[in-house]
Amino acid sequence: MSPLITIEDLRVRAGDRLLVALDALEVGPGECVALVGESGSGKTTVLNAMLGLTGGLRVSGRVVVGGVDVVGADERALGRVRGSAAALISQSPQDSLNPTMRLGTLLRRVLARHGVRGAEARERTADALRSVLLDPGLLRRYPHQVSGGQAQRFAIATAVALRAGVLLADEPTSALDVTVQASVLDLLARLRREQGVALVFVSHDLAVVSGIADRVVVLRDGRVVEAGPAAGVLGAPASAYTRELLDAVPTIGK
Amino acid sequence: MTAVDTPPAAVRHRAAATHRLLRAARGDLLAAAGAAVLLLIVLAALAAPLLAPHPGDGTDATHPAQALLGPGGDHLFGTDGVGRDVLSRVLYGARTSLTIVVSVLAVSALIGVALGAVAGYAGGLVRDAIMRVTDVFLAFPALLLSVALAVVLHPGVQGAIIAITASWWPWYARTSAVTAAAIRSRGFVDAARCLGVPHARILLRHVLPNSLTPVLVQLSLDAGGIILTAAALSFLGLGPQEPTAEWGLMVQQGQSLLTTDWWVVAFPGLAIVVTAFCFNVLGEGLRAVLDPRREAAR
Repeated sequence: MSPLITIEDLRVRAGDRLLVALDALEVGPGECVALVGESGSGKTTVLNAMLGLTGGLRVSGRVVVGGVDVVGADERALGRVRGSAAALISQSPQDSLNPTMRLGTLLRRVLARHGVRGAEARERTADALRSVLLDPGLLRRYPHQVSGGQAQRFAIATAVALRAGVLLADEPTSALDVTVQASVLDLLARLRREQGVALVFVSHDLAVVSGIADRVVVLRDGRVVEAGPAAGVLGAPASAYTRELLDAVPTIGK
Repeated sequence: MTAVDTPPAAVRHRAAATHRLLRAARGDLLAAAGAAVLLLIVLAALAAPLLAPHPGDGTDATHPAQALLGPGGDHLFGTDGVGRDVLSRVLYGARTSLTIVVSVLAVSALIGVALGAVAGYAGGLVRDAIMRVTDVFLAFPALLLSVALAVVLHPGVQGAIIAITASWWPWYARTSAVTAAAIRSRGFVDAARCLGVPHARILLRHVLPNSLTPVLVQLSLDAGGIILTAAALSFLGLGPQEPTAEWGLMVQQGQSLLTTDWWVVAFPGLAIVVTAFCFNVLGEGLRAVLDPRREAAR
């Protein structure tokens, strides 16, 4: 199957400073690729580059998402890629929801933006809510009336309703408490299994990453330190940096 | 501005609004009482021709033979220097004062919020240009600016409205510019921009509804101040002119009679105090309901 995301020779610069140098990365349907590294290692920048969210930065290379090269694409083309080909799941979902609109209105507007209206929109909404295990009654609520976990599920439901092939999850669970974290991770795993949704997962939490990722890309200062199957990279790290990151994972009783 | 990161006023529309206001009314008796008295004043102003014992006195009738009769009998609040029924004139005066308040608030809010939201959302040069203009208006003491403008304009209700509005709108522009700037950096605005939603629509749908709360509270708090400013202008002879009934004007005309015929000044003065006070307690009450911190504590 053809990859959903193909990155070749991606270079992101701020002025003369090279922020990211990523020679090759592919994400296929249903795959989960984790980008790990310390703060400032460029993982979020790579994620943003996949959606063309690199205002003010110089980007070169090829970043093909859903058949569109987002490097140098105009805003109209980007508007079609964002959400429908690849959807961003942010760290703080509540901040992405306009507090003056009910969740139902928000979802309807987003779908309409992507050309999905009427019966089709209602059907997709119902399906999406079912697949993230949210009560449809939630659509009548305002963003401040739902919990962080519910808001994150709603964000994922939005991506599902848009039939996004890839979810770009930027620390999707770090703002949630541990039990809610687990349920959101379960949900993401189930969406992969049942709907073949691919996942690009940015995190510094290697415990979470080892539970969900097929492949891991370790970044430091924007460069790939190590990449490969999750079991290999996290089980028998080749580089000292990865070992350091692993050692930083707190273990009970250590 | 702390009001930014919590659900703003527009959330509370329709059913939710009624419910919330009812709950707030129970919680804040003073504000509720203020609102009730204001409602009575508005109704009295609307029904002035029906309620006034001598409707003609509210406009241009004079009865020099009945000048300066004390309160009681046919004239509950007494009569003024040219024999007009003070009660009738206080009732008609409510119309003038409320017209001024509502007009000033509406026009100021419209200009202020529109300019402020654009300034805050656009940022950069646009913001600088708009904010410098508001700064120029704010550079003068409010009452001084109003007085100066009222002198230049033709004295009257319209002149008073324009003069007061000129010194009032910059506050709303400032308030909403700050809120809009804070909202601009929120995730949902970024999201809308990323999806290619046009700026005008983002302003209308995402920025404006979320920046109304502070302005709403400000409006109700300011209403009292506008009543007082209007009264001050009239008192200086720069507001509505004879024979229009207006509270400030009535106080000014009666001031020389204060020691002998107190009722000519006392009743319109009381009307000013009561109305301004009611607007203030209502504003305080609204602020308490809409204050995010108090809501979070519930």
